[in-house]
Amino acid sequence: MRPPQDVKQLIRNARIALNPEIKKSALEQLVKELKKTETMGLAGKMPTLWRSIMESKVTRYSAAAVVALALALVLMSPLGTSKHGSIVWADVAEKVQQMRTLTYKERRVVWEIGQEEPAGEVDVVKYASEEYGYAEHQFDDKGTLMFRAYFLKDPREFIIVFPAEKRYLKLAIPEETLDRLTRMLTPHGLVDYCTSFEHTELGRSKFDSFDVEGFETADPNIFPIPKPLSFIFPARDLVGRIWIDIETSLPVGIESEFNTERGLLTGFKKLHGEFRGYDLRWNVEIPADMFDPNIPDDYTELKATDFIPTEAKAGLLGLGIIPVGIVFWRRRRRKRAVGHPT
Amino acid sequence: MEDRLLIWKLNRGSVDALCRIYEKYRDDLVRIAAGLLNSVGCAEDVVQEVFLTLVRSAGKYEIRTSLKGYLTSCVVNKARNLGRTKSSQRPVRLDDVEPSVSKLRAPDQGMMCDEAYQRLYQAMAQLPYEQKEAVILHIQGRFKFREIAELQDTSIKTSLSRYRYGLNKLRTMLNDEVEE
Repeated sequence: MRPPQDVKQLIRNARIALNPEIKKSALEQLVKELKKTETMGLAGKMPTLWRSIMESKVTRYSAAAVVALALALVLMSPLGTSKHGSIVWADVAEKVQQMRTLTYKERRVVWEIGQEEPAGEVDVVKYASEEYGYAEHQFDDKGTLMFRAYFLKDPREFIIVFPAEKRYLKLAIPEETLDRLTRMLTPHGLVDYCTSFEHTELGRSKFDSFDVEGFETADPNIFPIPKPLSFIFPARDLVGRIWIDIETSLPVGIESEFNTERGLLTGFKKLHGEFRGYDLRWNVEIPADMFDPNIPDDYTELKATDFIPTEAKAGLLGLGIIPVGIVFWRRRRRKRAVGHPT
Repeated sequence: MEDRLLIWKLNRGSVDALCRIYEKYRDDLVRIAAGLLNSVGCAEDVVQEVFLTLVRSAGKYEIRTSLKGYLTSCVVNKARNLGRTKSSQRPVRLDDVEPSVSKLRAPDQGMMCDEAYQRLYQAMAQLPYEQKEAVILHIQGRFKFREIAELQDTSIKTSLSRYRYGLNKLRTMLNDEVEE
């Protein structure tokens, strides 16, 4: 007598030979139909990808999240031996410490909490070097460069360049802060930074085509912004996962998720972000000019406050969070320009 | 998660998202529809209609449950309507059963399995429609009985009974054939 489990198994495994030609032509019909739908009005729903930095939520959010994203890089495990035996964390640490450069790609998706659709999704290419610092290029889903961001060692600066807008922001970074950032962002710093965070081993898994072992940390202390300044980007519930290739003992995947409270750089929205770093390449040669912001002469400089939504500025003035002078000075300049058109 | 992004992109006219959804779900949906309709040709038509509806609603579609659940429900509803009005046109034959299913097994086992699938589809064709639907949805579609009950507009208890009766009948039919 055939047991019921056998019948279930048979049904579960049943496959039908399908004609690939029919499948292909059916898909072609669907694509044609989709294009027709698009010409009938769907195209109008496509968001304008770049009107201005301030109007593009995803740019603003992801630019603001640069620091938060950097955390994903630093979630290295406390040293020790994996319970599963294949990965020796000390080997990972030692290997990573020998590395001078790292490049990888990352997909970032950010939602405003409560919204079903993401505010946007972007692709980022990151470059980290012991010698020069850190750079990242962010692209929209059509492959257009949205911004380039840099944490440079010499001179000690954070620079973000928006080519479509022809604008940039430049901030000098105190030595201590830069040290802290580069410890997090460059390969050498990966190990040092996070040796003290609580973590959970995730055991064996697959990441892309790699056999990996991973670990996860949700230690709130990994977010490096001190509490008095957390209103800038109030991240919470940050979870980071690092996946280590069993064969090479090097990280091959970095994932992170976070929520934020309402903050200055979140446009006073609560956000949820998910990032997936992949295609990690260690010790590859990165041309020095990759760390050269190369800002053309006709680009104009932004202020940090330009990242704050206009509607939020009024409230912040009232709270005394933004110095009144900044806004008044800008308004006065604008008025004078109108009053004296010469 | 990925489905939510795919729908988001599809709603903005992404051909890539459409192709990915199609590749991800089309064959499983055809398999489910073929089991229900006992016809590969009809199954392909039903699934194509469901995808056409999805494409035509691009820009308006909101994912409330899972995409797979939504597509399967659409296929089941369309198959039910078609099953009521049309008899099966092209019964599943032995040569419809995909040989690659058995690639991981020994050759002689593979042959046996292909025949077993052929017998399975023939046996399923003899089940009362609601029982067949419950069996296929639960085993192939991985639907919960609560979801099957909703789809069949009945109680969870009834959908569970339909599943059990259907499975028992299948077992009896398949065993009878083996004994013959």
